[in-house]
Amino acid sequence: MSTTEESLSANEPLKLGSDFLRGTIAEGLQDPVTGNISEGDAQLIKFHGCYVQDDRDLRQERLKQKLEPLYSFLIRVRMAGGVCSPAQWLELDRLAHSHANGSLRLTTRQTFQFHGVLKRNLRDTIYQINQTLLDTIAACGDVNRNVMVNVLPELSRLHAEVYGWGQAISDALLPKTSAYHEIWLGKTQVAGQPADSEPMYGPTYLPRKFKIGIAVAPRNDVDVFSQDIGLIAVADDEKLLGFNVAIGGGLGRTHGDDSTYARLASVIGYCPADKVVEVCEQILCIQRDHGNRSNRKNARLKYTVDRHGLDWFGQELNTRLGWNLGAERSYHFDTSGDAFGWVEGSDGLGYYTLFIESGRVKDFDDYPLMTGLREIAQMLDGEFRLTGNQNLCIAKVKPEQRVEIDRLLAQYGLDSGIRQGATRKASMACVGLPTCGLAMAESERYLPGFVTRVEHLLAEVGLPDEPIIVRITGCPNGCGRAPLAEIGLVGKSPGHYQLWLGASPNGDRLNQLVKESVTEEQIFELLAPMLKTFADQRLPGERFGDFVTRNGYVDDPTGYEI
Amino acid sequence: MTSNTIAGLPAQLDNPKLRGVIGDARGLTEQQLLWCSGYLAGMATGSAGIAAASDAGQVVILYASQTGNGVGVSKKLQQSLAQAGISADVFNALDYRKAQLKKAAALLIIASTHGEGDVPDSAMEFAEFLNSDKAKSLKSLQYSVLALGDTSYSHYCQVGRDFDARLAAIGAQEITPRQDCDVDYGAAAEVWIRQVTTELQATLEISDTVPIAASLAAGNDYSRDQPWQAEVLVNQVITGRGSSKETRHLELSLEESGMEFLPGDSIGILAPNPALLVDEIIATLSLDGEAVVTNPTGESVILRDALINHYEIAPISRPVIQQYCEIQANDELSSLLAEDHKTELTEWLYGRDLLDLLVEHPVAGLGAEQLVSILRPRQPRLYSVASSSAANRDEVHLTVATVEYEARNRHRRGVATGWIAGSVEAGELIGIYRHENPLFRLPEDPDQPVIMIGPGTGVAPFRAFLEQREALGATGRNWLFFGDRNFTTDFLYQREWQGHLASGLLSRIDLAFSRDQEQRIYVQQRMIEQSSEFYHWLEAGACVYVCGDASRMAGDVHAALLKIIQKEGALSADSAADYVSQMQRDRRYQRDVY
Repeated sequence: MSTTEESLSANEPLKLGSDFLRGTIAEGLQDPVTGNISEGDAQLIKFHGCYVQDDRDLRQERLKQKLEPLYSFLIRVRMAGGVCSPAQWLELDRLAHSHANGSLRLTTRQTFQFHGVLKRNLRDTIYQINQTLLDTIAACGDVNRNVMVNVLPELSRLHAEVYGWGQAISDALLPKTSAYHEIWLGKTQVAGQPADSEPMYGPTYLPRKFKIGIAVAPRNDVDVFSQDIGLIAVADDEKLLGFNVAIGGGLGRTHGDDSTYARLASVIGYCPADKVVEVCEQILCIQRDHGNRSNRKNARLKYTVDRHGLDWFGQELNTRLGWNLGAERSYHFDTSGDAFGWVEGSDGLGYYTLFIESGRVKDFDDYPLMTGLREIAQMLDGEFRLTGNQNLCIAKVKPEQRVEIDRLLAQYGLDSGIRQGATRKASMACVGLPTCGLAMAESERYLPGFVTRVEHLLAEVGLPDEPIIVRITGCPNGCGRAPLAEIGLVGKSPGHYQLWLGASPNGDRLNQLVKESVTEEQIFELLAPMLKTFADQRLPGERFGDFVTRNGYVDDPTGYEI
Repeated sequence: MTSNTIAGLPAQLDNPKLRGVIGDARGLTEQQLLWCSGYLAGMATGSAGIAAASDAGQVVILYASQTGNGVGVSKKLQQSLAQAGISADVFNALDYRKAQLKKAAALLIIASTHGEGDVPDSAMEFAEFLNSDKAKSLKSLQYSVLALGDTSYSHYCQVGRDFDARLAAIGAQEITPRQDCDVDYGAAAEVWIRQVTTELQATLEISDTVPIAASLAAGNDYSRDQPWQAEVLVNQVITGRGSSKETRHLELSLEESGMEFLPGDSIGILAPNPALLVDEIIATLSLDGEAVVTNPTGESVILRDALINHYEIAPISRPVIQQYCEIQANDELSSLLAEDHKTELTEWLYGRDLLDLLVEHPVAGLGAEQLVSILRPRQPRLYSVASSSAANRDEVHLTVATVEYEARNRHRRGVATGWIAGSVEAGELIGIYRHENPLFRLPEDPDQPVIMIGPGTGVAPFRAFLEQREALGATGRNWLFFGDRNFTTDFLYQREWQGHLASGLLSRIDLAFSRDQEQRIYVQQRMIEQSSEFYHWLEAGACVYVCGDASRMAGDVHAALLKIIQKEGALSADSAADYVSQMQRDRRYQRDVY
């Protein structure tokens, strides 16, 4: 190994010298000359749930205007399992208007994002989020991120139990630094109290982000194999027994770097429910000790697992636990999608899942989504659950409230019209341009038009109600989970995408690269005949992702040439 | 006869010719000797023939002016007097003590009025003195006042009028009646200069004068009548999207113009009136746009051209209303002209142009020539220079806020700013000239600290100041106070200040964005917040510059300055005022407010 490979990545000394994530964030917030913060603080503030971004649409214009880029902050809430109360929804809605850009973004990890928060409003926004009993600690950064849990409308009693474990894992893996409370909540350290420490993470935290998701078969709406730790609940009827433990999932890649790749998590065994927190802690600690701290592009758990091998990892885990994981229990996933519309829960309450295109909650010109949801939140005696597919489940609805919710859904046209196509409802996109600094091409703004073209093609070949999972991401980092799409587009440059095809509709098979860089026209030149063949030759009930794989369209992982 | 010994003659100056002259001079009367001394002094400075004033004392020309206009007129007067054989000294009103007014034979005042009758900063102390009992010692003085003003303000020439009234009240002798001048003061000022010269020549009984040959012409300077046609290099909006206002950054080429300027100067822009407004005026009066009329310099032009390029049609001013009433009696307008209705007139004039007057108070059968006869010549608009030629050779930069508003169901724009915003593109030529402002200048000492207070477009000269100080390697510290409405959109030249902070050129910046929070915050509050540090800078000799809005900001900043000095220096209000007066005398408190 060369010395450069051995030397630590720049983030490592930064974390070490940050005094447990303080850096100079507090000072930077006070600097009135810029809406930005320092480069180092921009890394550290992620641990507090924030990204500094700028409006890339305005970059050139503002350069000419002798103004700095229009900096603003993304704030991501930490909300295990995506569950919030109607009161919390209303507060976040209010904050989105008073402190952010008037919209809320439901993320692929079941939480809320605010966009466009100016630096001078940042502290107050985070303070007010905390007033709602939510927070933003560790929503980003080299720590355990928001823990995902199936929404699970039909098995509501099981949900309560699984969600409880999700909460417990989330709590156990939280950083212990008091920097967050100090910077955002104005809590000063009491004299005589011991200095900050991170008993589990240590002062340099993890080498890279860390994700945990819990699925309850047969539903895989958390894309459990995309997680660093994927937990698959094993239950007897609605009684939770334990979890199959899968490790080393992760979808992020880097263009042009073959040492990076998407990987699905591998099941390494089974643990009883009451041991799951301990298991997660020990896996996290192995990654803490053995993860790559020299190269952030090879720092996720998946690379640690592949470098050391699954056997080694299993043994190391057993050693650290002091007991052995049990044998994998059988499970089967039907789908990674959501159950839209009303579902009756085993608790006798109603669950309505509403499609939210790319998770964007705002009032569109022809679609007053945010207003409609606010009215629902105002009357709802139940809860909201954000799904891993950026949709919204209006949960625990008492029978007598169903009529009123139906009335509001109809009044605002939330469940009808052009937004209700089968493919559209199976699709999603990351935020991308103009705010995300990583995006190389359009995603959220591009998805609606792209899906419309796919749906037209499907209608032409006689499959107007066929759901195909379309996912568009602005970069290969993976927020939109494009590697698990039947049709995946990954941004390369404005108007150009990698085309990936053939993931399974239940999230257990990755798609494969078909074209390295194509325009929309080139994509549809490829898709049109493929969809025609699909309509003609599919097996009964066969989905597009399975079809293209069976037919050999994507056999050759180096590229499919027509 | 020659004398071999002359007391006090330095050896290096000694020669036979000089001894001869001095010998000849013996026996002359005191008056004759004084005259000779002036004559000889004139020979020494090259303008041969200037006579000493009189035995009664010197002739003092005192200018009280915020801009350079007063200085210009003073110099012309001095030259005119010199031609008549009268030696006169020019003083800034700031230095009235040095002028030894008690001993002076004649006091010639050139006084500007700013805003709503405000006395120029430099003349505050003089005005105080004149209004005090001490001024009664001036009763044997001969005097005359030239008042510079702007008829579009209600307190037209107020400062000059007040000086005149006070001098008359204490019994001083008027040489020639006060002359009031509008913004196009040139012709009226010349009339006054001629009268003063003639009268003084008579009263001072100068017997023998020698005309001087030195050219008095302004040289190749560009002027409002002969502007330089500058190519527009950049016309860029510098307020961000969504701003509540529009501010532009203009870069104009001076290549081959030979035009020079200094940071602190202004540039005059001659802008055409909006053609749409002109056409509407012509249509309203059912006139022929091609009709031939006289322009202000007496040439024949067609009406449309006259209204676009030669006369002022927006805003309108008091004399226009006066003359309009003379054409046809109008009770409503006449009542606005009454002495005690100045506030009402100001309010009425605000935002009204010629079309409003013609529509609201129609005069049947108003002819083309009649129309232009009531108008005053088109006025240039002045903008502070925002660049240093040391940093940007052959260019001058300006910062221009677009004036835009809705009034009486019509969308209105400032004549020049609206033109710049709507019609001026890069590559086009616009007429400009330099308007010198010797009263707004960086300190000569490069080590002297500088505090600059310039909210809004008031920051323009400070961009020039910093460029200049950087280019010249001045090591003095620089502190900028800037404010505007919103941080995100209105932080004019934000990137440049960031760069200057990073390089250390700018030592400090304090910002006040008034509309980013519920409570409005302005620069004067930031000054107060930094009270102690501000005072340290003052004590270290800092020069304080204020540029921008005169109606409120300048007064508020002035009050903040007094408050800081009073608090940090533990001084009484009077002593703080003295402190500021001393700063003014030392040229350490300079303002360019409008």
